[in-house]
Amino acid sequence: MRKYTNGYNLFVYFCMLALLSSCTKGFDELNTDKTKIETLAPKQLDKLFSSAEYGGILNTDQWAGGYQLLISLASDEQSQFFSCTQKAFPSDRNAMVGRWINGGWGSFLNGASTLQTILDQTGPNSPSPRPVEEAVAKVWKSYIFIPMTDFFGPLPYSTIGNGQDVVEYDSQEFIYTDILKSLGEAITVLSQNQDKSAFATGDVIYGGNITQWLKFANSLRLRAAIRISKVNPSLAKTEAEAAAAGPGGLITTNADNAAQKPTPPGYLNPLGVISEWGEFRMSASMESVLKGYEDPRMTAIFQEAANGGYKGLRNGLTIAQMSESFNDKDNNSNVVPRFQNAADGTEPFTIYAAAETWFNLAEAKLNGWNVGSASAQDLYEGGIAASMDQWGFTGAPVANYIASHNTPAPFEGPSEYAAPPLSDITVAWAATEEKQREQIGTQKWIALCPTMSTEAWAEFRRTGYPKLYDRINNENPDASTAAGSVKRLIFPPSEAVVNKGGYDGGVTKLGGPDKSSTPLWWDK
Amino acid sequence: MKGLKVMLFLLLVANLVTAQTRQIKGLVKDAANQGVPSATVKVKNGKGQAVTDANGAFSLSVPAGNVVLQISSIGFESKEVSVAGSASDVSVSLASSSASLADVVVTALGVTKSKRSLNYATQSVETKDLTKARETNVANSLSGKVAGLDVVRSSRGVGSDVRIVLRGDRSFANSSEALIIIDGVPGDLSSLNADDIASMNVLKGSSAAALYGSDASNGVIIIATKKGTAGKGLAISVNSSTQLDQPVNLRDFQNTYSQGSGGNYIRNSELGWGEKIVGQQVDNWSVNPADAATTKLESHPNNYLDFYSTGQTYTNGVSVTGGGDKIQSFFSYNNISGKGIVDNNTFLRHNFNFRVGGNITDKLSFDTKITYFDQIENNFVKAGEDFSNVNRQILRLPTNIGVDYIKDHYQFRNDQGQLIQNYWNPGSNGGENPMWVKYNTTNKMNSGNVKGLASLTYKFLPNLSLLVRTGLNKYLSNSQDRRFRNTYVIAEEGYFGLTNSAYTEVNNDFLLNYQGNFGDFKVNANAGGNMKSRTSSGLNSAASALVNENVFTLNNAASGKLSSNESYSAYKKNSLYASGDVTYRKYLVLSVTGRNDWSSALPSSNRSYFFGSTGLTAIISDMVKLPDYVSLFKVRTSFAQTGIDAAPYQTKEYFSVTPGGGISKSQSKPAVDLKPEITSSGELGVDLGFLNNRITTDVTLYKTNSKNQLVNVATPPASGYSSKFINAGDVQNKGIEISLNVVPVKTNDFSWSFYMNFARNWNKVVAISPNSPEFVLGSDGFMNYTKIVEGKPFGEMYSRGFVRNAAGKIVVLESGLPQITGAQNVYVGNSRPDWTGGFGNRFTYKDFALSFLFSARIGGVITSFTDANVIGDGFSAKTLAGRSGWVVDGVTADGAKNTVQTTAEAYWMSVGGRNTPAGEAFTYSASNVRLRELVLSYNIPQKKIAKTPFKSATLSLTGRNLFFLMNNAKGFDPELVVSTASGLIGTESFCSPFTRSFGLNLNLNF
Repeated sequence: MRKYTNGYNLFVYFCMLALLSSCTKGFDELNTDKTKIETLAPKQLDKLFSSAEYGGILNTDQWAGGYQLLISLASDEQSQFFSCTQKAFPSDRNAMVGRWINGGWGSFLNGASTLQTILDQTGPNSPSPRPVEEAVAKVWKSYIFIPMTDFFGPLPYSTIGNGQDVVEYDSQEFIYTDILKSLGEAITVLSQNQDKSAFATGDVIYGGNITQWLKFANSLRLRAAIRISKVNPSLAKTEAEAAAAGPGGLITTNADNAAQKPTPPGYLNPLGVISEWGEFRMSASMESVLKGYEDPRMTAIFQEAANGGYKGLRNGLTIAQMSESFNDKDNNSNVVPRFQNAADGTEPFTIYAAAETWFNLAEAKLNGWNVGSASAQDLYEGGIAASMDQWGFTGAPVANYIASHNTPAPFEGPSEYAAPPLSDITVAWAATEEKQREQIGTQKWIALCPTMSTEAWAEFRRTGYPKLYDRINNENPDASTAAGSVKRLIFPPSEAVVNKGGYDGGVTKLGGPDKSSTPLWWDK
Repeated sequence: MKGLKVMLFLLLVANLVTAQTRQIKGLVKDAANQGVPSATVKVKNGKGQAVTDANGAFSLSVPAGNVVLQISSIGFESKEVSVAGSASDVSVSLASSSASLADVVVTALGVTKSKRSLNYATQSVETKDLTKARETNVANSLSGKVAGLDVVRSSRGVGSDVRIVLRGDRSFANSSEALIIIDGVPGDLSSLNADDIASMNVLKGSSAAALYGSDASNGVIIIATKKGTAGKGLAISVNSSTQLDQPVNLRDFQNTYSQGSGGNYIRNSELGWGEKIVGQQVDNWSVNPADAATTKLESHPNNYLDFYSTGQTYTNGVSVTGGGDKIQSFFSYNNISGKGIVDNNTFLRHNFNFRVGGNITDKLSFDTKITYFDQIENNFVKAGEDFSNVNRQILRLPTNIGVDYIKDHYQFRNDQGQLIQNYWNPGSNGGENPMWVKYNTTNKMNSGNVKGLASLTYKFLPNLSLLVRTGLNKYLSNSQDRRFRNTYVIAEEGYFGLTNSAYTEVNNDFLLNYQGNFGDFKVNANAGGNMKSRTSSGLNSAASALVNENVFTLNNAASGKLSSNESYSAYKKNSLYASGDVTYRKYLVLSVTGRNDWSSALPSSNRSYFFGSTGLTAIISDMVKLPDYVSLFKVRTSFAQTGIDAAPYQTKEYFSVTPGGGISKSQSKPAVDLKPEITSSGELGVDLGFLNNRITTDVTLYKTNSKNQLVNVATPPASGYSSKFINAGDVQNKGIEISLNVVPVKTNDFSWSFYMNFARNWNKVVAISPNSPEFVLGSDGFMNYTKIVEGKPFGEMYSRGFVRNAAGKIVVLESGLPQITGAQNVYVGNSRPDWTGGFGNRFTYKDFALSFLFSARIGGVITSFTDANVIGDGFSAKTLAGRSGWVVDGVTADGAKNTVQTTAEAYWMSVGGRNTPAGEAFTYSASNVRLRELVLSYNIPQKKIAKTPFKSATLSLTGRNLFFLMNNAKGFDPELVVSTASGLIGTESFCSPFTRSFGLNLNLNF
């Protein structure tokens, strides 16, 4: 500024003038956005918890953007709940679309970092600790990180919300181990505060009911234990047994199911949002199983095709194949309209249903773990009954179904799509353990449909059940048409740019290249 | 060049004729009979020049015999007077000029300076043609006329946004656009009536900016509007023009294959991969049960142009100027009405302008102005991947469905009496019947803008005055968005959106001006202050489902389907500044400016920031004796530093309230310690004039560095924020600007003049921040990212592309289709031009004048999302080849030559399409050269209108954008972009077709 000596003298003179008029009075106040909140009051923290709940399952906004990118376009297709009918979408042919993965990752972390704010503001180091709320938030963090680590493997978990330019990834082993530990801690706190409430109406799942959060926590502990049962059998056994004996019990009836209530217009049922767009239909694998079993849930979950009949289509169709009449969306079954927002937009979105607990216990029993006195068969049949009950089926039809010796049906259609059934397992409890495991996997898969494909895809990778049709086409050089050839999603390409340090560490912790063919830690 | 030689010869002859001289004395006065100091008096076609003294007196040695004196002075119309050989005393009265200020530059706060004394590059724009070859937005008229000025516009139909950038982009977060100053206060071009413009000057560097404050760091376009002139009496001018915009199809569609896929006609297909059209009978696409079950397949090659029609714009205006000794006034009214090339895109605008000025006492004068602008725009045409963008739907119309037919068959009523869209693929996510979009997704925007200006000037002493001024700018708008029920995805149950917005800016200024002479030194000093306050607010309400079908009111919102969003922002900035020019003997000028701003948008610790400039001008031609053919040789240099604040509300972290009372966490980390951005610039220029300024040229070299930029860099989303604001970066622009004006021929009956300008800008992002070698500036959401990359020019574009082996060959998958990168990480080019230029000519012959302008914008690329879709979907003629079989020229993963046959359909659908297009395949050079403007005008001779009340009458025929001499972007106009946002320059996405304009303009003066 030395150059401006002349100007500077004048400037000094005018500065004095400025002082006289105190010209910046009120500028701080003026520069505060009064349509927003600077510090959250407790009731406002409750509201923030709603955002963390919606964001945690990628229900980011009224268009459910994150949900579409990672659930509808990845796990819904990989689990073969649905097949893609949108011609522009290549992910059903196993393609890894970087932009989608970037978007889904960002949406999830938006929710996860919102949750971290809540953990920070309720935790022991906050000015006003709220241990019950913190425990609920811990349960929720456990719930939302399971599907994410099952997509990618390692990911930022303990480092969430560190505000740094590099955010380190944790290994999947660390994440599962910490989730189990964290659930154990939360269960202790929740069990001692069952008369209390947390987040009130800000909790769009249980409305603040601690007893139900406690059951949810025990059930998640069982879910996580089952997942790591091959890779760490001893920890899995300990945790599963602790969950089965946990204070407050497990979610065994549909009244305790975890389901998010939409709050229009901001947050709708995401399956409802997506299913209105006509971009996917029932898969061929789903048709084969449901039709073969004469499963009443088919008509509860799916609707008749516009041109009649309950029909599914093969996964991995090319654009030209999607254009064929047989594969047209009007000739195949969408999910029922009750999910759709055009109906009334208030159908809750189920994120955990009682049937899963029964099937997990059945598997634990087959593993020889001490999870109670009920037999594996009783637990398996209880799971079917719970799932049937969820869709409104009780009594004799359910009993007949459980006793049925029906097997999956052939998938009928033009020769390039037609396929024989992949399995001969019945609904009725089989004699051999391997068949029993397949039955459990198959019935759990049906019970998870249509909103819990993240869990279904993870369990399919872990167990190989149910047996799913190969894809008609593959466009991923690291995969093939064989069902299950996609072992994970690649890390978002954006991470290699904005979080290089974290990403590189993540690849190391993955234990293989950042490809869709590298199996996850528990997938051994 | 022949004319030049003739001129040189004549000049030499004139020099040889040396004759006796004599002395004459005289007085130069203004209309108020006051002496005009510092006026230049020259002998026409001869030597000898004098400057008037403080009283307007001069004395000059002239050749014997009759001479013609040319008298000129800043702020006055130049005049020629004949002095008889016998006369020795002459008195000249000069009229003050407002319409012609070519040699005068209005700088900060209306301070008029001689262009000769400026130490920075300026270029004035010929205003005559602005009112002939009319553009609804004056900004569009500037292309090619000013060296270094780059214009792109958005595709929105009439009244599109226009982006003007001088000397390249320099700011990541702030606008790089030039500041518009109208009569000393900030304004905008879009609401300006071209008839009101008296002068327009472009100040390119930021040294001109120190006095306008930070908003001016990207250069300034200074406009003076007309005002009344003392002593001129009443003058009335009437202007009427008609302009026709003719859509031109630059695209090449295929008309051979029907809708469908795999070579089969499919009645509900949205693709053009169907069967060969040979007049066969097929299932009717129509879903109206009343329509026949089958229809005949026929192609409609003219669909695209059949959809659009000729746009029409009618401009009518009147202006009245009157001036007494005390009060002078100017009034104008201008009315523009018209319709766009989509015929329900209509437009009506009124502009009123009333300006009164004068002297209250000898010492106190005043100037006031009120302009009012009102505009109603119906159904502006959207651009980009917007389902209600009608361009998008017409481009996706299969050739077997005729525009003429769907005009009357785009809807029907079902048994319940509901209006149903008749589209071949009901419920489509993205497809709609183009006519349904045109008539049933409509919008309306009404905006009003009032600008008021009042100033008082008090002359304490003849050389000391104080100006006090208030300027108010208020803009209000109301817009409505209506979508009928059964508009797929975006309005299944109907939609009604209502947005109100308001913007107010108040500027209070004072300015002290002192002028003094100290021997050979002349001092002109200014000191002033400005208090700026801005508020903007918006309210946006939407009913996303309507109970009663197609009744558009918010009350009709279905339960839970009404949402509202409001915004408010307030901002203040106070400034004090001073400037001083010291002139030595009229040929050496040293200028210094300094300014301190206090901005509310910055945290208190960084709120106050100082910046300034210094410059030196030497008029060599006045310092030393140069050959006579050199009329001006000026060297100028300046250095400036400008501080720029930021948008409000970026220094604190907030939680937002979402519709329904939810609370969400901010994803952007605030800039708690926000500092002002600093742009340093230096320039060096030479202005040359030859042969009595019949040849003038300006050459300027400049370099600017913008540092401390407010950058919103991406951070790992897991950190809790997906982005954060930091002060970092260094963007450098270096360049050269050359302009040349030549009058090769000038006779009584015929003259020819031309101008050329050229500007080359080298842009480089020297640094971003230690942790971020790059960040994303913007994205169209589907195809491209526009990035800022360290070490590269501003605005690098990336997209998906082909995976290639080491030898650069395309790698194919087992299917024989090319492997496309998953991420948008393939560099496709830079979105900014390398150089821009213009070449304008003006011929006059008697009462005829012909002018035309070619403009060039060379370098840079444009990517076409439209092509990705129309090619991917099989509608482009490019998709005709390979339909029955195609082996992609590529190699397999193990390096073997690909032998697997695929089809054009499979190939283009994997390379193009909406969701995952490989932009690499749809990127073109944006270089283009066009005939930008052509004006033929005829001044009806005085004798023909002698019996009419008209003093003069001019008839003009005009053309704009008549044709391209070169356009590498086949199919569209590369200057028509999806949005004028900095991160979207370089992306064409379902824009309107190129239009060519013809106009007829009549100007009458009473």
